[in-house]
Amino acid sequence: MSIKAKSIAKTFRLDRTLAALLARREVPDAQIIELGSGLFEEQYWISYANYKALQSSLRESPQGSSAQHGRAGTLERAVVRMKSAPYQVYLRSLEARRATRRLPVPWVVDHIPRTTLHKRRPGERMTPEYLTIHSTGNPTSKANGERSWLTNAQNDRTASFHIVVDETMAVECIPFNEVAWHAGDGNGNGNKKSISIEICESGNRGKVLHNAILLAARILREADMTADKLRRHHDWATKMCPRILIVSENRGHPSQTWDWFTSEVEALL
Amino acid sequence: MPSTAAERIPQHLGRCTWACIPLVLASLLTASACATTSRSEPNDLLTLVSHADYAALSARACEGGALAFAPYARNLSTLDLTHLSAAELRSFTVSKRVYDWGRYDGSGDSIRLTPMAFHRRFVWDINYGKRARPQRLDSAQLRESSDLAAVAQAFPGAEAIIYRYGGDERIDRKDARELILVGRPRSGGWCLLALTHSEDTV
Repeated sequence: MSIKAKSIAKTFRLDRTLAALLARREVPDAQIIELGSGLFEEQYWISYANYKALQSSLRESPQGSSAQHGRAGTLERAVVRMKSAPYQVYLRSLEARRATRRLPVPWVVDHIPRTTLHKRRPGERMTPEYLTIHSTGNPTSKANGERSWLTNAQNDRTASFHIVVDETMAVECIPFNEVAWHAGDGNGNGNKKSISIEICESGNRGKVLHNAILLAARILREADMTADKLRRHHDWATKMCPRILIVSENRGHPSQTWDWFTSEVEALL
Repeated sequence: MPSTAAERIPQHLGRCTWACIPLVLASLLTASACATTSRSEPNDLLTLVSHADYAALSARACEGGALAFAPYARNLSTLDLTHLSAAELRSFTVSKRVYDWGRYDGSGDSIRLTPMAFHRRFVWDINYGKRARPQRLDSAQLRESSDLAAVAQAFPGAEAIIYRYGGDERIDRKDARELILVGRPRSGGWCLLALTHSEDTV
């Protein structure tokens, strides 16, 4: 039995088998969050929501054995402990962690109609596998202006994107389960399998990128994707985009590289 | 661009004493001679482009009467070029042949158009003579422009004359666009290598 499993068993007063499963992260729907770091100070807590799901799955199991019910019973005892002071500390830390990951600006849903000219919203269903990052290449446009351009009668291009972010807001223009024309690769994976974020080049670059990082992390989390699914527009076509992260002359600060962006997003997942 | 002789005096000579009047005069003469070439050439070329007079433009080409075309020019790693020979340029306005000029921004669909359809969409898509302000980049400036790196790479040592319509600020300048003439100086004037275009893209 590993030290982790022993610690879990001791903390939650669980039987060894279940503790071992939890330590190996093999329990469905259970999330184990590490709070401590010292060898003998490690603490593992099952979040209350996941505990309820686990308990429910154990009880509803048609082959539910007495052992499983026993495990549910030990979990019952565990949750009592969770509701005690240490669990409140855990909840507070979880809330603090969520706060750092929260998008600090409004996320406005303002989808363009399916009747938008030049098939900018083709309505084709998509199962996203990637998240593609763009920058507008326009030093003056804001998120609202980018959204308005998609339905402007002067716009004669078959080009669109899913969501655009600036320093004050994010505007979702096309649902994430539909194709948008943004990658320039025809029927390739860029257009047909990736969600696109347009980062505005106007405003305070630091704030805009902060918003873009939080937005990217949230989209990845909600689509159940990892940071290795991040792509640049340049990965699909010859466009040097997002230029604010890949062309040194267009960076707001020399540190704002693509590697920096992806590592910041990854840290929030 | 400077329009009067006084404006053409180099700035470092602007506070000169009487002792350097000959130097100022020499500078004015030189500047005036250069300006005659640099100002008239682009205007002539722009007029020919506006009239889609590709036979005349072919005569102003640097190499064998051929010219290159690109639908997009900025923020690219490589330029999508289509080369038309002198013979093709002579029949430009009447040709029914559909060329593949590259890929549209966004959708990535092939740009399959006749020469005149391409001209109307990616060369003379607005009246640049009236709505744009020209800017000339010499070869060093073009080389240093990160946005136009693909142009500099495709045409080493070339210069560019950029006719930029800055766009309507009420719509965040999303309708901004450019006609970019690429060429190089040659004895007695300026010859043309390519006509490229730029616009707001995703």
